[in-house]
Amino acid sequence: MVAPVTTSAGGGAAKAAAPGRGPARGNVLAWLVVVPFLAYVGVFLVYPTVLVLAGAFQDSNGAFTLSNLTDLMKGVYLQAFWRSIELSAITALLGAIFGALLSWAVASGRPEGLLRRVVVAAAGVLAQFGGVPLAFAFLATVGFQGFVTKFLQDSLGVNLFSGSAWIFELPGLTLVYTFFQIPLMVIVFLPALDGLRPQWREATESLGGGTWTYWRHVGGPILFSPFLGALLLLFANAFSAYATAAALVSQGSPIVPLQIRGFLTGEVLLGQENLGKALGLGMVVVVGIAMGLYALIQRRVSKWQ
Amino acid sequence: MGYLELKGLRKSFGGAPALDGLDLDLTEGELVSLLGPSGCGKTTALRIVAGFETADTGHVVVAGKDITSVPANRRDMGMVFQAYSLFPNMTAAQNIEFGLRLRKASGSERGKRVDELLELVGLGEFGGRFPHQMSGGQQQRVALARALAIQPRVLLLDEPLSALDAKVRVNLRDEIRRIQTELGMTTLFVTHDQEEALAVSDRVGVMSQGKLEQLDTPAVVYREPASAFVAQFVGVTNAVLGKAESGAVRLGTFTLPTDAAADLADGSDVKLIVRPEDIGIVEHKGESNGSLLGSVLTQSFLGPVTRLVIRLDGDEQTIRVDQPSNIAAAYPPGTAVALDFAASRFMVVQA
Amino acid sequence: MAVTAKPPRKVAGTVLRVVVLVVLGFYFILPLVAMGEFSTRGINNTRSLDSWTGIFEDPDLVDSIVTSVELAVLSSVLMLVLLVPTMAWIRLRLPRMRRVVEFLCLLPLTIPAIVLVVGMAPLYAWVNYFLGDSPLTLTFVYAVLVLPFAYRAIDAGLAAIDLKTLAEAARSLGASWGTVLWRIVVPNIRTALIGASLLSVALVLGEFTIASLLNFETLQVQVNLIGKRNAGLSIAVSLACLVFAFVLLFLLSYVGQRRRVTVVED
Repeated sequence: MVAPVTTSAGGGAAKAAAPGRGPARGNVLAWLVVVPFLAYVGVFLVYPTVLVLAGAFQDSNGAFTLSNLTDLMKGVYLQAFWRSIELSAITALLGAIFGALLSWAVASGRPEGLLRRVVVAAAGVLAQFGGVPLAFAFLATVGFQGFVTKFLQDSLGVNLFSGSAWIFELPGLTLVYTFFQIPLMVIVFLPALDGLRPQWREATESLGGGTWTYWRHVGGPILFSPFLGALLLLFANAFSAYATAAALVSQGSPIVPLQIRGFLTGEVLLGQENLGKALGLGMVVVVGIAMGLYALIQRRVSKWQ
Repeated sequence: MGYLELKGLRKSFGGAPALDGLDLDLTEGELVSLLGPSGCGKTTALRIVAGFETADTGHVVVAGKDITSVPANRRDMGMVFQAYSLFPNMTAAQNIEFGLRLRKASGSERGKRVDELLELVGLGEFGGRFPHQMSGGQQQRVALARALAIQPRVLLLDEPLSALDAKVRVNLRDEIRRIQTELGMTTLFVTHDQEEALAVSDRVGVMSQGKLEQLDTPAVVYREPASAFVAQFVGVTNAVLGKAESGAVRLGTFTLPTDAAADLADGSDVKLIVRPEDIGIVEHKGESNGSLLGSVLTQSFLGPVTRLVIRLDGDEQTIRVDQPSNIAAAYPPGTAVALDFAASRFMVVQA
Repeated sequence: MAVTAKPPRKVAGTVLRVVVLVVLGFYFILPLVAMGEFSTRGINNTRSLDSWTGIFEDPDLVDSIVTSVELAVLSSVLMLVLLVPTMAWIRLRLPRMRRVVEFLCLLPLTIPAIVLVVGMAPLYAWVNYFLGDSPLTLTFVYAVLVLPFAYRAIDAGLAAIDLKTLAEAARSLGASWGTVLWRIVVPNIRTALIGASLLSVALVLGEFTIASLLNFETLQVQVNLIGKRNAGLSIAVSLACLVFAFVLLFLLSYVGQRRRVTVVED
């Protein structure tokens, strides 16, 4: 899962040398304190990551090869990448638009009010901890025995699945993904809306402008960058998502994360394991680009605060 | 009939009333300050005039026209907020010309006016800067220029200097006064800083708990406060505790000959309110002459004036007395002194 | 007496706001209602709480709940032990490391869990070799996963206190660094620590990707398995998880109250 990143402005200022000691000795001892943390992160985060990224370039004997990467560019794998990108882009857009609307509706209310607390807490749950339960919620609603399915069948005689089992394919994934994309948008975008100072609205009015003027000249331009950044974040989030899709789709691997699942659960030809790592590398590249752009936009935004 | 009239404004938020019947008339071209502690209703009054709040009852009239129900964006008033009001996505010049753009002024008209205003507020070279590239004082100047650009009928200032450094505040308030006088702009200025209000205003309205306590020129408000609240809020005062005694006031063993306490019950606790500069002081060499006696505790050199803190004999109370510094040198700490109060320059109220 | 009418823009804005809230509210509440309905279905169109009581009767499920709770607690503790001294120290003595530590803490956001787990498998072979194959060994990787959330919460807490001044004051009075950390820093960032812990707990309870692909039986893994054989039970548990996480986060919103700075008039 992906969560908002805020880049802090400016690192440290003065070097704090221990009083009474030479700077060199003080610093060496000071560094010892952070070694445990660095070592831990090195072992449990950096090392596995490097294994994957390096493994993408190795064949089953450990020798350097680009064949994994070239295999990625064809057939099933390339299709999976396109579908992942399509899914992520569409749900990012849907999430961004409806999430922005919902954020606005919430931001207009009282900051300590109940509505806001409930929406923010609910958004947190769905956006970051929904995973498997979300898949089951989806099934309970529009699954074969779902509440809405039965309602439509019994009351309106409409069969939700007259065509296909779409809920287990891209359309279904798109629908269920909105259930964590819209909430994530609320979490990411609400601070941006809070940053719109009431004085700007009032100043616009005192100068003779109305609602449209305000949004066109002040609110819109100011929110543009945060909106774009949020869109990128949502894209990265959908692209990396696994749990919901895994719980929903037990057969077939329409998107990249599920493809990787296939490799880990042994559904793959011998000698092809590193192809899974290549898929991982591909994912890291796509998500990395999206997050990199997001960080750049964040830096620009913070200049105005 | 004034240019800007506030008639009987009342406003409550939930429980206690923020404004409890405010009546105010500004003549054209005058600067009136609304002065008071936070919660006194001054900002509420200003926002009602601007149109950002609606009064529960009462009217706002400008140049004879009742604008009480006119929406904020059609009131033709310039407003300067306390902070954060410049549009961060626009340069200073773009901020200033914003109102003109809405009024469909042509590009060249706008450019000319922007240059004029930047000169007026002393920021000629700053047109291309963004708010985050300017200091607080500079931002407020631009905010002022922006409000003036549309040539409003009334200028509203909501504590424009409160968020600034002390030195910047003093400079900028003089600037604001200069510009206001030059343009003949009718101005309503809200502040909690009494020095500021006294320094720039034609008239000062001291407010407390939603009501006007006094509305007068700065000199009158200072020298002839209408109530104990005004006396204590404006300028420095002493509040000495004593007891009423047949209309006179007893402080310890000394009885002040006055009938200022005539309306107060005998024996009740009273406060004597007097300014440090209205107390006379002589060295007391032991003769008993029926004055209020005390001894000097500390001296604070304030430049032209020195403030002496004097502990009253037979009492724990201290009183502050201001004297020109060259005279105050004769009363170092420890000196026994006798004090006398100029007649009618003090006030007695219930404690 | 002039009573002014509400300006039209306010009315239009309010209407739009209500419409948005109602429509999206419906969109999101519908699945919850559906889950409630589904999980209380009995035989022949009756209502029954069998799926709910079944939660306590399924030993595997109960075990997995216990496991997940233990994991949540352990991971939170490990995270706090790792992060708090490090972050405080960085701020006080090694400001240049700030960027590095920040980057490392936010790195998990750029590495999808599904990719991380691929590299985890060989690593965990070693971990399980030394420490046995209890699911509690997931603590190590979970502490890493929660880093981004915990980092931001603790960073905000440290930023809100004047750490340098407090530490210098304590040191000038003779305190050791350990005392400074335990008696000065920790008590003053309590709300941030609680926030970070609550977020960690919620994250661990909801984690599925790594646990399932490393074949450990945590709560979410178990729920997924149950889904294949007992739909009602799995939906009941899912609803319970969502509600529980909601309560946790709802309470979190009260924990982070900014302290009112009361200025007492002299």
